[in-house]
Amino acid sequence: MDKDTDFGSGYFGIALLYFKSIVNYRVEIVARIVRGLIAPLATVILWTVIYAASNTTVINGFPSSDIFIYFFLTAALARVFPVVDVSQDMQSDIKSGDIAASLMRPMNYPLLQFATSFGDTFVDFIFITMPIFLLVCVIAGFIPASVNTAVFAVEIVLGFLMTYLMFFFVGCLAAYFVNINGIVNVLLWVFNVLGGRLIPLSVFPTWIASILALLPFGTVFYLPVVTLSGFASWSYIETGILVMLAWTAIFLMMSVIMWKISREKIMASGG
Amino acid sequence: MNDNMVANAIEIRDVRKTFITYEGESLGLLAMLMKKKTEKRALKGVSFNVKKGSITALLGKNGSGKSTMIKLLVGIMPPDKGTVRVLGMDPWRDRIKLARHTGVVLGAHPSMFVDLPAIQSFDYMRRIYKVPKREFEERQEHFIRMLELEEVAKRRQVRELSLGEKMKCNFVAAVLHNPELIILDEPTIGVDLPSTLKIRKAALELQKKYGATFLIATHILEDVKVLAENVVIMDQGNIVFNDSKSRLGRLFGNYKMVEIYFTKGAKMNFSELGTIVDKREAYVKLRIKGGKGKDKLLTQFLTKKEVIDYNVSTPEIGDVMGKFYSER
Repeated sequence: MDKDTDFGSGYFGIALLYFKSIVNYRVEIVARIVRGLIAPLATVILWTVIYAASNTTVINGFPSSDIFIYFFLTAALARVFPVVDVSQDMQSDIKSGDIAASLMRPMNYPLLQFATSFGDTFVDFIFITMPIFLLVCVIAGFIPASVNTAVFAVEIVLGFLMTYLMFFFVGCLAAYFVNINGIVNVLLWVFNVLGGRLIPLSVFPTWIASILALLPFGTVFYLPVVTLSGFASWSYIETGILVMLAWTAIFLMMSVIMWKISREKIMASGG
Repeated sequence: MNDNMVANAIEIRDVRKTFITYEGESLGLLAMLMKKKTEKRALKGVSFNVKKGSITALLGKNGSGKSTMIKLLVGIMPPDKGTVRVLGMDPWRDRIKLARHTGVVLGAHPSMFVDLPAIQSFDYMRRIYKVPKREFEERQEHFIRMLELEEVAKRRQVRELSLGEKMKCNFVAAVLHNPELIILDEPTIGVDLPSTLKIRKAALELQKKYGATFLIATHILEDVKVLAENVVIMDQGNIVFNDSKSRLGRLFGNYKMVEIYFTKGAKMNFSELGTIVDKREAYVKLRIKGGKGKDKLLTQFLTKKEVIDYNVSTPEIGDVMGKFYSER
């Protein structure tokens, strides 16, 4: 491409600038790493206590020996999905009226938000997700199969898209309710509990686990982790990917419609 | 595209906009849970044009409808009724296309990455507005030099800059893509005088050299005095004045303030000249309405031997606006 007309992509550019903005602050990076380690450590301790108290090494087919790998991989994944951030950024943009500064540029706001989330997520991917993966591999002597790793990568991309679209949809609600912190927090806890971040889905009674596997939450954390660690069968993984695709399509449709109808309300809600 | 569209950068016809707000009726702890739905009519049938290549000031008190008007013009909000045409486009429908031809500075809202030097945001503007690199670099260097931002824009994070420096950077970011229409919402609010002067100089250059059209919403009357050719005044969602700045002066500034120092004890009939604003021993300040007859009378009066010294001044734009609002 001619250098003089090398525009790159505006959206890729914004992702890059967000990445640069965050890595400017070293303490923030360290804090993110510590936060990324504390959460799984607390969950591992909690589950160790549960196993010890129940005098068993297996609960509903989930062995205590997998606790470390499962929860550290889940925590690593949690930083890759733009859960909460998208909605809260939108709420702040709408509430303060700063969204006007984005809308006066020749850019598509949903894509702009997507790029922003991507830039932010990429920081965590580099500084949290990858180091935790390496940590798990080294400490637990865990080496994932290459096929599993490839499918896992596909699931991460789909999971990113799906969670972005879901929380973008919720962010649009700020045009109507202005303060959506309550809604976002409820959804976050549903994600954590029903998505396998705090409780592996296999620990639930079978009929509940099979329902959860069809909901979007179960595919975000649980599916990729059991794919990478080799805990799940291929038929479970295939079904999971189909469920993810279906929910991504549903949330895409919902977000497009919601953005279209809430756009008129957006500037009336803020400064 | 008809002739009007070519001649006018902005055409607003009978535009109306109403907001629904929820207001608490008392100060009680739970008052906001029982809010009352109210309608606020922000624009009540507004019509005006802005000629291509002109500088128009959009004035009005807080809550007069200026900001709503600007949001309609850049397409981030649709009108309830009426027509908005900007550069021949419907801003709501063609927001992205229109944004390529407009530059906007919203004084109250940040438009740059605060954690990075401004130059990084400028480069981002180059990408999203698709400005060829060479052209962009020339314009960037020109405005950086003109607004004295060399050190500031290239090395320091935007959040560390003073308000004046941030505003100058915002201005540069808004004009790098050579927009046909530049909308400035409070561009010099809280900005120090040297920075204000530089922003005004850059605005005038853009108009004269590149033929850019400006719509400037401001409370700073000096901006109006130095920059504007036309003035649109809004009040409570209506246009209450829409004409040239000189006509505003003729209508509401057609008077002189005259200070006369005279010998102690002199008996002079000042009231035949105009209204006495201030009177002390051997000093009087008068407000004299215009008219050739009055000028002749004043000249004769000032040549009287009792008059030691005098000072005649015409009203500043601030005085004109003050009179405009007081007479409404």
